[in-house]
Parts: sequence; C-alpha cells; structure tokens
Amino acid sequence: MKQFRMIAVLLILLNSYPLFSHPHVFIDNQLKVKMTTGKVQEVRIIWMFDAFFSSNIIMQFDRNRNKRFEPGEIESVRQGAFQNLKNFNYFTFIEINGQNRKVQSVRDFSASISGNRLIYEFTVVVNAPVRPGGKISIWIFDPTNYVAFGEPKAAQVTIMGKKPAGSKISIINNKYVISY
Amino acid sequence: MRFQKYFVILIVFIIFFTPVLLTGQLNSSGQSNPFASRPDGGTARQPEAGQPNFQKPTGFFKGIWLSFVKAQKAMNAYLSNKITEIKNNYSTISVIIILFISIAYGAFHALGPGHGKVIISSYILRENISIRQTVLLSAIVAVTHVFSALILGVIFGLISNLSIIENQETTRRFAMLLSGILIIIIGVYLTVRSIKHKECSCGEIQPDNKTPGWRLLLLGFSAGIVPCPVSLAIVIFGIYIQAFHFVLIAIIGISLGTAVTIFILAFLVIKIKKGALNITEKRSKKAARIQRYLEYASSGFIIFFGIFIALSFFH
Repeated sequence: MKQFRMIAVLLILLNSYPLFSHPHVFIDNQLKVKMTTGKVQEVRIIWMFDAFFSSNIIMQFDRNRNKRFEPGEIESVRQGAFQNLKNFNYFTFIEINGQNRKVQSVRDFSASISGNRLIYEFTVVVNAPVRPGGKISIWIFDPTNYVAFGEPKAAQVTIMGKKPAGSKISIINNKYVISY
Repeated sequence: MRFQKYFVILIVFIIFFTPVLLTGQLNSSGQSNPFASRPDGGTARQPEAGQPNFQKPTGFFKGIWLSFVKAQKAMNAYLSNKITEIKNNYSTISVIIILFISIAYGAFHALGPGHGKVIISSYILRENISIRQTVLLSAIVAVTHVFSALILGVIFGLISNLSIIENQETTRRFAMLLSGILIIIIGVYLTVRSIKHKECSCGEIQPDNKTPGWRLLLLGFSAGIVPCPVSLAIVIFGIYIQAFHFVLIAIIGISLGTAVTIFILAFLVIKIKKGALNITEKRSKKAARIQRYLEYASSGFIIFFGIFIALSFFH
C-alpha cells in the first residue's frame, strides 16, 4: 500500500508537466541584431543543425555530392526544407517594447555545410522603432517540440550597426532580451 | 468512509489520465516534420498576440524535463561524433560506448509523447498481463518502431533521387493511418468481449487469464509501426558517412532503450492498477465494479486514441 501511494504521488507530480519536448532535431542558434539610430532593422538568424538531421538534408539536396550547396541547390533546400517554416513563424517570436512583431517574411536565405553539419542563415526584417529604456525580446523555439534549440546564451547574440548606449543582452525565461 | 470513496474515484481518475498526461498532450503524438513542404502549403500556427510563449514548458518538473532534452541533445552530438570517429579509428571500447549511449538515448527519447505508451497502458488497465508478457510487448513495440525506421532509411538512402523528408512525411502519415485503424479494431474487439463477458457471467468480470500471443503481436505492431524519426535520421547519417554497420549498433541500442522505458511505464501502470483494486479488495463487489469501469473506460480510450491517430493522416 505504501509503495502504491508513492507511485501515485510520483505520477501526480509528473503530471504537473503535461507537455515536454520530444525532440527529433537539435539546433544551435546565433543571432545578429542589426540596429540603426532608434530602430531595429533586422535580425540575421543562423542555425546549425545536429549531424543526423543534417545528413538527411545534405543527402537529398547536395545532388552532385561535392559537400557544398551551389545556388541552385540552396534554392531547392529553401523550397523543400525551409519555406514550410512560415507556418511555424520560422520558430522566431519577436517582441519589441512588449508588442509582438509577427514574422511576415524572411529574406537572404542561405544553406551551407560545415563538416557534417548543415547551416541555415536567414534574415527576419523587423524595421521597428525602439524608444530609450525599451526592450527587444527574441524567442527562438519550436511550439511543436519537434525541434529543440540549444539553451540560449547571451554570447549567441551580436548587435550590429548603431548599438544603443548602455545596451545589455540577457537571457530571461529562455528568451534573448536586449535592454537599453 | 466517504473519504475512502473519493480516494478510490481519484485513483481511477489518475489511472485514466496518467497515460495521456504522462506522455504529453494528445496533439503532440505523431509530430510532423515542420521542415517538410506540404502540398497544401500547410496551416499557419502563429501564436496569439501577447502569448508568444504558448506551449512553453511549465510545471513543477519543468527543470527535470528540460534537462532530459539537454541530455538528448548531448547524446545526439556525442553519438554522431563517435560514429564518425570510429569509422576511421576502430576500437571495441568505442563500439561498447556507442551501444550504451544509444540505449540511454532511446530510453530518454521514449519518455516523450508517442511510442505506444498510451495504448499499452490502456490495454494493461483492462487485461491481465504478466510481467513476462509486458517485457515482450515492450520489445515488440520498440523493435517495430525502430526497425521500421531502419528499413525506410535504407530505402531512402539507397534510392538517390528520392526526396527524403517529403517521403518520410508521407510514410509517417500512412503509418499513422494504419496504426490508428489497427488500434480501433483492437478497441472494438475488446469492447465486444467485455459486453459478452458481462452477459454470460451475471456481472462478474472474468478477464482472460493470459493475453494471447497474437493479440500482443497485433497490439505491439499497431503501437510501434510509425517509424522512429530519430532512428531514421541516424540510418541515413550512417549511409551518408558510409558507416552503416556502426549505425546498426546505435539502432539496436535505441531499440533496447525504448523498450526499457515502455516497460517501466507499463510496470508502473500494473502496480497502480493492483493498488487501486487492493484498496477495495475487502469489498469484492466494489472491486469488481471498478474493474468493470476500468474495462469499459480503457476500451473506449483505446478506440478514441485509435481514431485520433488515424485522423492525423489528414493533418
């Protein structure tokens, strides 16, 4: 009876977390936030995939097996293994001064191979004004839990262009936060 | 006495909802590959305004589950590095390491939604199944789940002009449909059997003393037939780097690890079922009634889950 009670309690506790990642793909992230005076222009996002998933994409799209993607192959990758991410907001959720900025489109997509790993790079156009004392929050995550992104680290974010005075990059609740 | 009554109700409730809750929300089983292009363009899953972090991990055990994900990421990276390394620099110790890391990887991965845990748990709730049979059932699910991926991976890897991720998606959807239909058939069969038992035994429940082998096989097959995407990716990796034989070791390890997790969960469900029935053992009528509710509810749940899986074909 005691043993049964312990198991029941354990299961109740486990139930407190109804959904957790069931990842099949792992990605390491890097962000380059481009700013001009009083404005966030764009965010360049770089994803480095795990070697297993990478091999699937490389086998399918590196048709001439030269371990690099030519422009035609990059376009095939974009169409065949990237553009559907628009239905998932490109796993990118941006909030500026508390307001959501829906990712409408991305540009300058590029795919490359480094060792056994696949790399995607693309730019999210933000073009939003920022006021002094404001905050830019960027979440990179997959709501379906098919993809698990590496734990965010402040070092993965670089501010390009006109960096606001006193700006600070921190990680709060699994998101990158630039405050200034 | 009243407290005891509510406690029993609570236990039955936990028994039924634990498989679903423990293994994740229903909508996350049979996840589709978000990278794969859909002929219909797909459906946008934008977050609601002001709720960009929907479905983010919550709850008391968030930290533990997130560390499970981190552990899987680390094992994934370690395995790919080790398989690449061993290809050029063979050592028996590396083979053993690959096997053990794969077992751990499979065990952690199978903790996530899917992998037949809900079906098996529901089945165990209503049927008498021995520990030996539970081991066998867990093994059938794991082997079917992982080795269907192996066969698929070999086909994808060897036919060079095949669109891997699109075909993987198509195969997954058809496998879900087949799995769902088989599960519905099992659920309907069990319900009919329960009704017949009730009719012929004046309310006394007399479940089979032992689950027949064919039913274990069908149950395991239907629960595991959707190919494991992780194993599939590993097989294609093996073909890509020309280290297929080492990848086979990883696949065997993942299969073993998956079986272990499924077995542990099934074992817990057996214990809980016994516990719930023991609470009322002094009053056999109540125990019989609970057993009967368990039968009907779990058959219904199996049918419901089968329909849910089959419908994911259209998503």
